[in-house]
Amino acid sequence: MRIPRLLACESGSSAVELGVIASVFLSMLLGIANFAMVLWTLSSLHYAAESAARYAAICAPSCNPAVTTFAVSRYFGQSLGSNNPFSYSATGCGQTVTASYNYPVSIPLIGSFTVPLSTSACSP
Amino acid sequence: MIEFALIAPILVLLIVNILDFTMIIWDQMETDYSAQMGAQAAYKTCSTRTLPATPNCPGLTTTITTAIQSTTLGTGVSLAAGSPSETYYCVSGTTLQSVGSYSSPPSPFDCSAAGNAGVTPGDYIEVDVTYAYSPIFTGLSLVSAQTLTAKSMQRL
Repeated sequence: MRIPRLLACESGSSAVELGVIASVFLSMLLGIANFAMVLWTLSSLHYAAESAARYAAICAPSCNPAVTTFAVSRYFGQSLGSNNPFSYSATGCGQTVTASYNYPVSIPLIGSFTVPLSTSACSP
Repeated sequence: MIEFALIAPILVLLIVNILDFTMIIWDQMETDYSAQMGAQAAYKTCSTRTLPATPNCPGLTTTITTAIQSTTLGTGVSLAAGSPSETYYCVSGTTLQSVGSYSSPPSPFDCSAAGNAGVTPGDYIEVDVTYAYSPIFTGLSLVSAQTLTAKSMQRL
């Protein structure tokens, strides 16, 4: 007699619905936060590359500190570890600084992968 | 659950619009930057010895074009019609006043038109660039496809 009564009972249904929706909603929310951090890293890399290109335009060909070292000092994003993602060449419109960085993302239950980020800036 | 289904389209529309607005702001910043780099390239290549630069500085347009296409927008950026243009300006009060283009310079070559005959006009190059922006989510976002423009001036 108890089971049909339990199946007919509708109290607490919104709590169950919340349980179903929360996983979708939370993953969306966390996805937005992760995506924002990737964009933050990309824009920081871009800003550093622009600064370094401008720096190279003034000090080339004998820059001290080196252009790529300067670029790292102008990067204000998350830690890049020991990598220097910047490279410099006196090509393009004058002085070109490019940055390539594999942004590591690890999501529990799904796995780890990297997002390749690249940007470049040139200053005459 | 049904509430979320009702809200989800609005939420997605909001996110899509945020993305496209962000992209147009970013592209406008890059377009501005490319115009500045174009003017900077003109300044660096065409020294003051070869003024006016338009007839005397070979490769002026090529140099500027290379510079404006060196941003992340790449070759999507192009010089506007009639650009680069070279004009003589004088300081008039607190603003710049045009006193003639490079092809018809003021005669005598001074700032008498701006009320200061003792000063030589400055030679300014103006770089105008355009970039064709198209939204990622055409039809979904409020941002429509449009041409972004930017202008930069530099005294040579």
